[in-house]
Amino acid sequence: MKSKQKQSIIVILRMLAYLLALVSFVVLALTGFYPVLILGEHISGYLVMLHVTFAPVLTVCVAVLAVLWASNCRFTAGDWPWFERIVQRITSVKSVDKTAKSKNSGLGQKITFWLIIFLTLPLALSIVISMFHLFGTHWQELLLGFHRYIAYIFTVVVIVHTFLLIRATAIK
Amino acid sequence: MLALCFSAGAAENEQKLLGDESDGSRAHPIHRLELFAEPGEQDAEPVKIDPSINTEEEVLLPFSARRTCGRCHSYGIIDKGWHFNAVDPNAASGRPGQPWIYVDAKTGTQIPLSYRSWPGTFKPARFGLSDPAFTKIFGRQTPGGGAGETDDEVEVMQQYVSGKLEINCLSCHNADPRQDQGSPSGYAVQISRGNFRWATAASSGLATVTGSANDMDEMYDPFDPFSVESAQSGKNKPPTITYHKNVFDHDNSVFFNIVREVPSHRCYFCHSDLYIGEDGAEKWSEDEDIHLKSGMTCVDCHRHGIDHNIIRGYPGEEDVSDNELTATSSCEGCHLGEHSASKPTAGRLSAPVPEHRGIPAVHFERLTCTACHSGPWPADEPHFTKTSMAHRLGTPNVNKASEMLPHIASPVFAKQADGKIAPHKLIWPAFWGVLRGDSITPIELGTVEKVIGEILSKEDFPFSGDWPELTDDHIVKGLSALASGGSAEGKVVYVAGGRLYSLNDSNKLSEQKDHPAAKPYLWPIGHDVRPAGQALGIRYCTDCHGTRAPFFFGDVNVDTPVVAAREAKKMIEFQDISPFYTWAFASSFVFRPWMKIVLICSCALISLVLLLYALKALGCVIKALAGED
Repeated sequence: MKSKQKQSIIVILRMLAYLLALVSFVVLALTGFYPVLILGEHISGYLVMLHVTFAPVLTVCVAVLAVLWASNCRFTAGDWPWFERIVQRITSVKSVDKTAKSKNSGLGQKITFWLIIFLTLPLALSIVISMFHLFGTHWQELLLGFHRYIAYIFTVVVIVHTFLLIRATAIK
Repeated sequence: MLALCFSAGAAENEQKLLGDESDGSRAHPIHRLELFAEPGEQDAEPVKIDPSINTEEEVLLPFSARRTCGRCHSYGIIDKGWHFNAVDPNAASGRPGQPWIYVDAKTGTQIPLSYRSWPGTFKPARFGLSDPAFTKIFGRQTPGGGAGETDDEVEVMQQYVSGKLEINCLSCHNADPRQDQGSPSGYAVQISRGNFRWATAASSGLATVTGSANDMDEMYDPFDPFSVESAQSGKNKPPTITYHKNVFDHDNSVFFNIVREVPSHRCYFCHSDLYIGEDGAEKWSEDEDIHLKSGMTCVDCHRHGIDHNIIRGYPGEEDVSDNELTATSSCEGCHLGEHSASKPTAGRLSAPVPEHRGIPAVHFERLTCTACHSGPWPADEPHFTKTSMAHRLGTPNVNKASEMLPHIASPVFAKQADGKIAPHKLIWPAFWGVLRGDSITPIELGTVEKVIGEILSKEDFPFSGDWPELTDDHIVKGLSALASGGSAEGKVVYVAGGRLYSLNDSNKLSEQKDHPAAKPYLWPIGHDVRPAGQALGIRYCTDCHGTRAPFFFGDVNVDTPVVAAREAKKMIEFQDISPFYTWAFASSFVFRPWMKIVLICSCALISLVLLLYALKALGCVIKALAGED
């Protein structure tokens, strides 16, 4: 009974973290890309304040999701049968889990999940590091450019992940 | 034949003189010269100076730099230079600079004047100042030329008596310690006495000049021995020169210690600043510009050739200047290099290439270098600032009181024409004028002195040279008196402290705040440059991004003689930025350290999760490779 209660709290927490992360992501994407891609300017004014306010929220949410969701997104033998076949050929070891091959494992979701977790690091650190007296103007500009390009990739990955999640939920 | 003559004449005109072009030697040039004076008649040959002449038969004249130096250096090229070309309407005005400020507490006047087309300044002629009158007031801190050399078509005879204030090459290039710009018998005083013709010689250290051209009537002839002798026997003495005989060689040549590279203390005579802070204003307590302290001189950056087209040293100057070193002589040019240059230019003269660690690059788009590095450290209120040009520092009988007019405030961080915020000096114009449409023309000085001077004659004027305390009543009386004199076609107004005062149809005083024609005049600060360790932002972002940081939220006092209108404006009002946004942004810096901690902790947690699962994955691969599963 206690275990079930605990499970439901974790599910709710995960859901909340996910939703909050999604909202933060939308705000960050809008405030970050609108001035650069639409206006052709650097982010500034109230947009930068919104951006800076929601950035830590997203990072915290991603960290929470990493802790709560990582276990569910572990890669299993059934995720990539083609890889298993290559390993079998090399090692001559036969798979014990025959049923895994036919199971719909949500590989796309898992990959995008881990990509989101991984990309959050350079995305956040590229800006946090520049706030310390470590790098000069040249490196500051490089870090800002790095932040921008990682953000493009991150955005694509989040969109794909959300799409896959919605599709999987709809199928269920 | 005629064409040949003309071309030969043109070639002769373009011929370079001995000193127009260097032969390449960096050695100290020796100048042992015969002295020449301006002749009494136009187009006559210059008069060679012989100190032993019989003064009963001839007049001992002051030597002229134009006639002496001009024998080897083309005067016609030099007088196009920045320090001399203000009166030339074709000369590019460039970035707004320090105006000449005419001040008269007795008429409530503090007006920025300039021959250059700097918005917010007024041409001296519009204020009723002829070129000689302007020169007599402000020529003290010029190297001559410009307005001092134009022909006065009204007071022709008076100009004949005074002479013209020719370019005084020695003001800058004489390294002799006796060069006298500011003593009671020096250059500045000679100009105020109207002794324009004698000023160069009086300042040279080679001669002493007594008497005053101001005291001579129009019939006085300074070239006629009889006229001079007669005047000398009178009560008011004419300008008279006495050469120190020990300076002349056997052949009446004189040694001048002329230097190409002007010593900085020569520049300081006209370009000194005094920032009056809480601790007073002693020069010994202030640090000099870091460039000078590191061994450089002013002219290491502010360079020019024979054309004297000196580099002012601001970004974008290359668009209006022909000086080929302009682009590489600004802050960026020396410290960062000029990207379009064909060879590396960064680090010239050992200029360190700044790293600006931890400063977001956006600062370099929004701020000038000087914003963080120049002028005094910003205080809650900008400092009262005195400058040589405005307060005639270095000349006799200067009023040393802190409150002495004109009231210049600095540093005021304001947005300049290129959109960047830069530190400025600021004055609030105060003058009587006539409003026509949206523009105001100052009423001529003579009229103002007569009419307003009489109205305010019974007021108390502080010894400190500060404003008198004007009331609405004074202004109403002044406006009424000026209007009744029919002095102008338009509405008589008084401008002070950013407000425009006028009388409405029922002769009541009405005032308009922030009228465009009453705006303060600001000009950017270049010096003194502070080292990196004393630049804004060196301690933390809150040097500027604090909710009470002077950079944005300092109080700029609105300076005006009208007591009721004395108030303060926030610095941010000069920056074209939303005050609420700036305050909110500054407030966010309170949470900035926490944000950094949260982000770093989150990243650490994510890293641990990634590491954990990466190790798990590695374990699986190892097991698979080992054939265990």
